[in-house]
Amino acid sequence: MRNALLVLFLVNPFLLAQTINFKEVKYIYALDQELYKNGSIKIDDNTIILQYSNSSQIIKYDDLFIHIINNDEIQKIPHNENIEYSVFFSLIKGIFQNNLTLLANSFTINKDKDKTILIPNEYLANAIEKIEYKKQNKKLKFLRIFFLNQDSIKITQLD
Amino acid sequence: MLLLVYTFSLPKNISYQILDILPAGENKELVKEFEKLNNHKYLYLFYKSTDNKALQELQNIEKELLLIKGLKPFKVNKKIQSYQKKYFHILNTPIQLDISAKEIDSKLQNIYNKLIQSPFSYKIDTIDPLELYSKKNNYSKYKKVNKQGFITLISIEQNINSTKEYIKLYNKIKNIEKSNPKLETFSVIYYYVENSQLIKEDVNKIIVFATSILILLYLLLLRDFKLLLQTSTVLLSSLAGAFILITLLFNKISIFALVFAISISTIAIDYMFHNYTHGYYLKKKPFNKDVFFGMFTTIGSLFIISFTEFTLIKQICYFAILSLILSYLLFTFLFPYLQLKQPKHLFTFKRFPFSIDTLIITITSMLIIFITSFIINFDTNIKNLDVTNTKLNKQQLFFNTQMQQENTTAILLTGKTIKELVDNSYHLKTNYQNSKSPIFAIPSQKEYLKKQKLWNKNFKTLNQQIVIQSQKLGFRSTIFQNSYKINNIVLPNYNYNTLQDFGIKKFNNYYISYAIVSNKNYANVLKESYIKPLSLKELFHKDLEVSVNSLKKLGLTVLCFILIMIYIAVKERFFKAINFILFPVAVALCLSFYYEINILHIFMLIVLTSIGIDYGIYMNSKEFDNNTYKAIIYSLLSTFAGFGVLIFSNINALYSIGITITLGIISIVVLLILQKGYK
Repeated sequence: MRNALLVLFLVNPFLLAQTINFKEVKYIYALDQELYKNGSIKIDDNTIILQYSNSSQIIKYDDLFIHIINNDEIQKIPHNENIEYSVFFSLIKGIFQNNLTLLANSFTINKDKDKTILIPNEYLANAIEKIEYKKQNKKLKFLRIFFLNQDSIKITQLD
Repeated sequence: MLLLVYTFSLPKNISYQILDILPAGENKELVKEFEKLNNHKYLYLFYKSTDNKALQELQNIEKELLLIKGLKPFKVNKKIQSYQKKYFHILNTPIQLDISAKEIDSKLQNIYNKLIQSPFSYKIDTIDPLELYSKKNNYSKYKKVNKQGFITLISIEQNINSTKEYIKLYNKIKNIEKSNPKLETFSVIYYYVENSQLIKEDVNKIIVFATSILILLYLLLLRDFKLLLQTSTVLLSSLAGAFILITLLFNKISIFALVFAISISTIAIDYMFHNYTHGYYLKKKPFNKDVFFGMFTTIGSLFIISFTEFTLIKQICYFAILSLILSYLLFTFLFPYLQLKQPKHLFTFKRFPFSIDTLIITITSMLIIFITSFIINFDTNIKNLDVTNTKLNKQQLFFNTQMQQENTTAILLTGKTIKELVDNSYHLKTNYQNSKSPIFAIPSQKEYLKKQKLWNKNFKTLNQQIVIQSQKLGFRSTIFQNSYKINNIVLPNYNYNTLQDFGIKKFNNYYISYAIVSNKNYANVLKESYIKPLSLKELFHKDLEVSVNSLKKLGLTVLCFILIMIYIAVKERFFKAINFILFPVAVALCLSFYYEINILHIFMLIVLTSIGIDYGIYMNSKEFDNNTYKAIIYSLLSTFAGFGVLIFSNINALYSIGITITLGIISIVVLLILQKGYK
């Protein structure tokens, strides 16, 4: 019960936040297989919440930690201990809030017509080849992450 | 003369390093070679914070530090990295292969699940999907210390290797550390800076102490300030002269040798006091037979001891002999012409109303010496003579623990050929877990032949099993086609010129390299025939034992010399005089009830005999009168000012000297008061 209240407390500020529903297509090269998922991202000034449909797991990102909430179980991880999520959330925050300074911490930003191309810095370059995204009227048309092992993820905003 | 010494010789000829005082030989050369081989010095940074900004703050400090001349970013040796990559299969294949079809299936299934569940992209190791290879190099630049902070390291340029440069670097680093309260830094160069500083502070403290006692003696007891100036001038001139002469014999003079020799040189005040109190200077009589006997015995004893192999003791003996001869010449031949005043004594020496028979003192002293010879324990660990820097020791332990998980010790690997050296390194690597060495990146022929059998026999089957099983699970058919597939590997040329980057050095008729082993394994590792210890304790244990034995022999020779000299000097009062040796030595030997006796205690015991005998001769001379007591009391006070004050030192080497001589002085006073047969 206490944990349920805690979940409510953690998620509560998002009742007022911007909610984005998205579709994700993940291509796994090793399996030559595409995985389809739907989910939602809620963003406010300091926090981001990610939840996939058909999954009870909620992932919350704030200035200090990443909270992974599974039913009553809450895991609190500092940013530097889960680089993948940290990069992903910084990316989402940077793109949706048009915070190019945040993106410039980890990427070199290039413009190609109406899409933006992000080339990762030294550390991320070991795993990510490049990231492309296009925003139109504040809406994310697509976000594509190309990995060095030929995996890729494409995210499209639904509404 | 002093100005000349200070300007030209003193700064560059003094050594603060313990290595410079050790016996010369192969072991000393090995330590020096190791220092050249492992000349990578690092600055460790610990940032006490784990919050979100901690890493960024640490990186900013790192940038600030890297602006200091002498510091450069830490980089892994590229040649070693290229060998680790090139010979990956040889270096990492396990010695035995023991995996069932069921385990293969389960590990592949596990990879499949991670691929599906991972929110991002999951990176598969397609060469070693079953994680059979030994632990891979997982170097990470910033290491997180459990809930405390982050650790990282910066390299110190190899051309920074003098104490002067260390001090410069140390001060700049400490300035940055001061402005960042969450930052803690450590480097082995701190020992050079802080220990030299500690020694200097200690020596300064002792000099102030000694000078104060001397001033008190001359101003309060003798009330002759001019005499103090004249005596000090003679002593300082003798020391300066001795220093100039000794620099012709040794390139580097240890600070320990210098301090001790300066102290021992103050014995020369005896000569002045004896002549002075007995009116020799007023009568302008230059030659005093007793003083000559005393001086000759002391110098003769030091000369005999100087035959030791121990550089420190050799330096002390030579320095003291030179300084004592110069002082003797000045006190004997110059002082009668200085128009000194009639001595004014503020006190008359009074003995105790009762006295102890000479024979009782002789027998008791011999009994103590006999008993202590059974209980005496010798401390041959040379490190125990050095300064103990507890703060730095604690910091080093902390960083060692955090960076390497456990306490380690460096050792030397040896081999007649490079091939043998690499084979030996393979033996060390496989038999003693957690050992580390740059030479481990070179594959040995023995290792190659052993693993080749495994590749030919088992790895081909394993690859086929993985390819078939992974396809059944739904993996792409080509994804694991290179797993455990070993192509033709050519072993490197075991050539000295190409492999020097791996810390290999030719030394005499063999090759050496170094490794770090866990302290848990250290005792067993030392039993291997190809290993040589690098710790001063083990390396010089034998040398010190030899030195102690040689000092014992030299000590016996000194004793014989002294006995002959006493007999010549006092004849029928032989036993009364000999108590001035036996009793102080016996009392000082009582130290063995509380401490392990080190090389400096032994040396001081020998010196104590030389001092004791001066008094033995004076007290039993035909010229003995109440002035003899006074001369001895003045001399004892000045001897205490000279090196009894070392009892207040925090450096074990100096404390050992101080405690022995202080006990000796006290026992001589007891003899003056209590021994029967004097007026």
